[in-house]
Amino acid sequence: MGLAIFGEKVAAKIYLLLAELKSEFSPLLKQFARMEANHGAWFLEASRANGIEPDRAFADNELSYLISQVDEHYANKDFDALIIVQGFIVESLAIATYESFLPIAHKYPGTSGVFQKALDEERYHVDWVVRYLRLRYFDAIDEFRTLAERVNVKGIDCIGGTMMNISEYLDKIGMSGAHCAGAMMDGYTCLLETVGFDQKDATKHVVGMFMPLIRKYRRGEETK
Amino acid sequence: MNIIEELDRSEALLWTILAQFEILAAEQYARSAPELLTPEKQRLVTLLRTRVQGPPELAGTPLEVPVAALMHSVRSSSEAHVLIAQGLFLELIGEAIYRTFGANAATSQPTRALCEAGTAASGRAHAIVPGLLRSRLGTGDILLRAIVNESTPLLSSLDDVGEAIDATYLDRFGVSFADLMGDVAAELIALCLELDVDRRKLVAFLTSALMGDSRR
Repeated sequence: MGLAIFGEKVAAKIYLLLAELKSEFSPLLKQFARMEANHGAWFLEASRANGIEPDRAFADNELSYLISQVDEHYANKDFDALIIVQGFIVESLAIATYESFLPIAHKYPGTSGVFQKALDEERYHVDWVVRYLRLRYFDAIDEFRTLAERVNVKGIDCIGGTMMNISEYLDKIGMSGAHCAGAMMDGYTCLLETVGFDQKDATKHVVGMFMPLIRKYRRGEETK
Repeated sequence: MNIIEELDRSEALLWTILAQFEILAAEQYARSAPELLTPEKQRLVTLLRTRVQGPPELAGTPLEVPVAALMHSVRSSSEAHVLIAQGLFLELIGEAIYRTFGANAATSQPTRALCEAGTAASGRAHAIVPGLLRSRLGTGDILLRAIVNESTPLLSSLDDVGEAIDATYLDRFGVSFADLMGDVAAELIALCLELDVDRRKLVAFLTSALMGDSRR
């Protein structure tokens, strides 16, 4: 829960930074930021109602690597890199875990509704990001590919690594961390395809980046 | 003509391992899936039997234990196991290996020639296997259940082989297990989609098995 709560707050911050970088999308991206902040607030309330105190230190440790990447892209005024990190990679993690949480949400009163609404809104954000990238890189798929490969190296190492690091905690509450990781990989692969990667190419690219993380997980090593 | 003594040790090890797996595949196909014992596969196995003889031994190398474990995981001769573990997974892995090493500028001419024969054999299997899976085992969730049952031990032992592959081949040839698995996953998923296997379920299974998750 700590990661969900504080991760949503970081997501809100990222959308605010994105809003600063492209004024034409500023009102919408600020709205996205408010939605993400709401998710964090709902999750905090639901967490406390269930007597669960979010682990801030764990979340900070996981999120610090993400924040450093975000700051770097923002400093470079690299809107497209930042939108891939947030709109594709971070959202893929959120969607994969929220989807997997819903079947067991009944065990935690008050969580079903807020996780379902958050999931719906994350999908809405992703839909917009897909549309933006499709228009931006229409007839420029090679350029998109170069961008995605550049962003993914650190982005997947960071967010995929977090997925591996939370895997055993997900197992403990009755979810399957490995299933979530698979769902994240597949979800992210589908997003790359939607923007223009060939299906096999997207799979090869994403699997190639997750394999080192999977090996670390099997060895019981921290991924970051 | 035996080529082992003229090869670099890491290439010789590669062919020692591939010969073991290809000979096992031919034996299993002969017993349980004769359609896969194609002329291309027979030619490859004949080449490997004549050209890959003697040392180097795997004993004492990082590859010894994981290769033995992988070999052990694919020994069943049931038709379902042979079609899935050998015909689907190991043929795709072989195809990725032959393609990668065959196109690698650092490999020797004998290796490239054997890779050409390997690519022809695994490519032929790749073309035949979907029809066999469809007619013998079914499609969709039924096929996925068979894939889960027959490939989990193989996948669980695969990452250890990968670690040894990286230790042996990454520096010299720039070949990484992650890249090989990316190739394999891309072909596997595309092939299974043609057989109506749910993509999300398949990817979740592959990830779980590779992560060694026994609580699925």
